[in-house]
Amino acid sequence: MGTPIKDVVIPSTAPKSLMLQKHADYIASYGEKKDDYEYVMTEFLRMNGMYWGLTGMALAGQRDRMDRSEVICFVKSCQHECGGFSCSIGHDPHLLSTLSAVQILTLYDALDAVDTEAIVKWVKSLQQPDGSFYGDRWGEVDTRFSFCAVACLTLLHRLEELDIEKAVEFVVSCMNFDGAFGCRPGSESHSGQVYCCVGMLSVTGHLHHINADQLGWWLCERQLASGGLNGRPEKLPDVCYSWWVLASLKIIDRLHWVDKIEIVVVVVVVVVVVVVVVFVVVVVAAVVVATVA
Amino acid sequence: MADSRGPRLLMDLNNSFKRDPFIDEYDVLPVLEPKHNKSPFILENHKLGVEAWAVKVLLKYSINRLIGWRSRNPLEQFIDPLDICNLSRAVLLFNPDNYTAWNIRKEFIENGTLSLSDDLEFGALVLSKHPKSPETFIHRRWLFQQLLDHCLSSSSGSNASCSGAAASNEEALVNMEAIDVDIGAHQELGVRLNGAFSLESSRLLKNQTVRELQVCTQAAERYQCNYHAWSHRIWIIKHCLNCSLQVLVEELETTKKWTSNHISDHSGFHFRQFLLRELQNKRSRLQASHSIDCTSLILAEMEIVTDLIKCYPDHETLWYHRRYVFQELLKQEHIEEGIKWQKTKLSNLEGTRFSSEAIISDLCSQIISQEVFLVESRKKNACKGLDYALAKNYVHWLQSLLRERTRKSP
Repeated sequence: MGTPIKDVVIPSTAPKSLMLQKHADYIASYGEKKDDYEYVMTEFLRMNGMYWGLTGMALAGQRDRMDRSEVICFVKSCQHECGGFSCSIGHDPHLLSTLSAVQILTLYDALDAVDTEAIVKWVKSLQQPDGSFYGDRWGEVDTRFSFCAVACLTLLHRLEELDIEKAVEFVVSCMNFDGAFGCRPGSESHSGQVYCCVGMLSVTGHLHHINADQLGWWLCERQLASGGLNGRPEKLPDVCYSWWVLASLKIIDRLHWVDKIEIVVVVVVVVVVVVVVVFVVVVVAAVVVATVA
Repeated sequence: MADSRGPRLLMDLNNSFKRDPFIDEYDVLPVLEPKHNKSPFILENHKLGVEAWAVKVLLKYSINRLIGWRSRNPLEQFIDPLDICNLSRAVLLFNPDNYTAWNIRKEFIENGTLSLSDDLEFGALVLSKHPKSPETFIHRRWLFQQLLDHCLSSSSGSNASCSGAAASNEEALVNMEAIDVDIGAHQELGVRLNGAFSLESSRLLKNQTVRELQVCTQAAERYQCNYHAWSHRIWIIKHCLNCSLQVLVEELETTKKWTSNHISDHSGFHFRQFLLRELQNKRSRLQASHSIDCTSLILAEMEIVTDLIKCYPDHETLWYHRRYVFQELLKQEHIEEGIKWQKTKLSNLEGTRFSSEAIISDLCSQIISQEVFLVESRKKNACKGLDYALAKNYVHWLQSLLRERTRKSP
């Protein structure tokens, strides 16, 4: 039977080492073409992209190439009266961009530039009686927002403001029979959601709810023959999911279960050949774990 | 510098929608440079094509104006609400995860500028091109929440027949038990729903809910393993159909064919797992009203997945589904049911209480060993291909399941 295997093929000509300087140069020049169609198209991700880019630069040891005051000024101008931050100027506040804003300011040790009291109040107001969090005032619920809320308040040293017991209860209710997590109770397991839930339980000190061997096994099964990792069964591998899976394995102390040599090869290849910016996700989130967990 | 072609292109787009309010698909045409005297919009048979260069110009212009208005830029404060709606339409057709643009539409729905059902139609159009856009699905859940809230408030005011739409009383809920939600059978609905509800909002809810299941199916067809489409479908079934038994049974039937035609789609199979779990939660009512036994459903699912694995080797999704079905089968209620069936055959059980925990745990271990044996024999046939690895992983999973069980019950 000729079933095509869902995986990438790495050509022998693919680079074997990480071209760190090229990545750094790409990020540094990214914000310069503000009038580009692509720039306008990605506006709804600006704050998140900025966080990934800055952390990437920090990890590459080149943070000074970025204009600190320009960045802080931008972040400041995205804070709304309610306390939350929008992805870019003129957009609406959302938890996803609020976490990125708080992370950027933490990176620059500049939290005093904004109204942190208002952030705490706003994040707190998004928690629901069942422990879940709305992403904004319109009421969408997702375990990603649970992570954003606790990560945000941890960085502000105000975690006690939330009902942690309820928040944990909700996240645990999104655990499936395979030990992994989805976006809401009963939703399909997904590596990105696993990262958020595991991160959330780690930050709040409730990792004991996880069956680490079972989840670790599911996460390791995400690795394909090429070495890369996917987010769900029978999906293609990519660097972004490689990050979410590896970070989760790290948090539950099962990172030694996967084949690291193969991953490095794939990460280098995919990054150089396909999208540089996605790589930043990989490197960067190490900082999330470092700062948050 | 602002591109002067923007306003013209926006007007052309608006005119296309005026000329044909029933556009049901659209896409970008690979034309990178404008050609003289030729409109970049092509409308035919309810399909809209927009030349690539025009999309770029139109989008930059529309986003800047819309967000300018949102950020209270003094130059943009005199735009008519309908023009704002049109700007947000232009933005969302090509930038569907621009959540601020969706939020603007939410506000227009709240103040009555925009109609809820028109916006549901528009979202369906966006999904035809961007079937996995998370923000489009998020917006739809908000729209349905509005419909639900509206039904709730109108029913509590008038005490009318749609009180069930509050999702608190399943049987009253739009009397869904009487509705066939077969994905392809929506034309009949108009006839079948007559008389069930007097209120406009609950009728709208019913019609839109059935339509929504179709929208989910279309999105699932257009993009495989569509997480957003399937988790949205679960949300709709939970919130708008209150997991009605009839709906669950129908959905189990209709997705049987769908999944067997999409054997790599883990999201589709997961949806069946959701249905089986919900049916399991209502097993006694299922038995009473439909004469369906839950254990038979699980056994039937095992048969389906066994057949599929035999017919289509090398599919991780199928092996994963088998894991779910198998661990479900090991649950006490199914084992007890199985013992009941076999009680007469198993002579060594004579005189013992069949629910005794020791017997159950013994039987579970037996079933697991049998499954291991079965899969091991299948592994031998797989001659080291991918299916061999998948079977190996499955056996490993089974063994850890067995270890876990012995650890729990010493």
